[in-house]
Amino acid sequence: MTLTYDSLSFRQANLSDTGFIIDAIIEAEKSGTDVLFYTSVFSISESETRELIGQILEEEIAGQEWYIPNFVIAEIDGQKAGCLSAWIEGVTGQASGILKAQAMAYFLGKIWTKATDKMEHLKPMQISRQMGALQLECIYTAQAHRGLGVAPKLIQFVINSTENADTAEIQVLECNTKAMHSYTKCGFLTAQKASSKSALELNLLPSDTRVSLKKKIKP
Amino acid sequence: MTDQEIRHQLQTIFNKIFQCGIIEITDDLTAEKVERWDSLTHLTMIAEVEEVFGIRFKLKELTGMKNTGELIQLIIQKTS
Repeated sequence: MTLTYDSLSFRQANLSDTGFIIDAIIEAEKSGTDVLFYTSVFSISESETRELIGQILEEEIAGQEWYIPNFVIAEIDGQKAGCLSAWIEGVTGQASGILKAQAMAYFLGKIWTKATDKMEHLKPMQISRQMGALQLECIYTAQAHRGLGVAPKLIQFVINSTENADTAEIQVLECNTKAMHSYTKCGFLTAQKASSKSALELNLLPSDTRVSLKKKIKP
Repeated sequence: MTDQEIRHQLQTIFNKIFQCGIIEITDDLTAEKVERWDSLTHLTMIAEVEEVFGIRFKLKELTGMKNTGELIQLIIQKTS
């Protein structure tokens, strides 16, 4: 079964979507595996990770992925079927990675400081996001609605609604082959790869390679 | 503390943290313009600034900062 636009609706997220968004962030971070970056790097539980994400969402920090108004929710018959976070990189003057790290460090305090050695192992996997490009993150489809093509339609909706960017970018772990396939089908092409062997050896991430996929969205 | 004294201290901190030669402290200096200025080094730099100037930033101040000029203004406010 494939969905038509008629059976899908899209809207900007609001505070009432917080629980769904936290589920989406956790699932997207796991990249289809059981490894969660925050539990492996910061030695915090999944429920503590959920609490951390909730605290950051409450701070309303624009320009990075964990900001409720950046989320677009897909609904089928009034049920939340999926979501993604979309923003223009650098729109607030700071890179999204720095904004998110500042918030995480603020709430984690000494836990963050203790984890800096582990994070150093992940540095070779960092790919700078293109300033001014539309960024798509936390792309998630709820279990009951998988296999219906929700994510590609959500991505297309967001791209069609974006006026002030000529490139869209998605960063994904290479192990997430299903997502990579889906993004490729949407016209995204691999732009850059970055690897760190120790990320996998130390079980910090479910993959040792991060991939940046890009798509030209304006001529 | 004067603007000039703050810039001098910041230059020492930036050179130590980002380790890419002498960095000229200008108001429009941002992470994009410094090779080693990423999320981890940024947080190390902020921690060093807090320690050296004996100040503490609020999260909103950190996430609202657009460039080094705004960092200097915040330090001036907090040390005066």
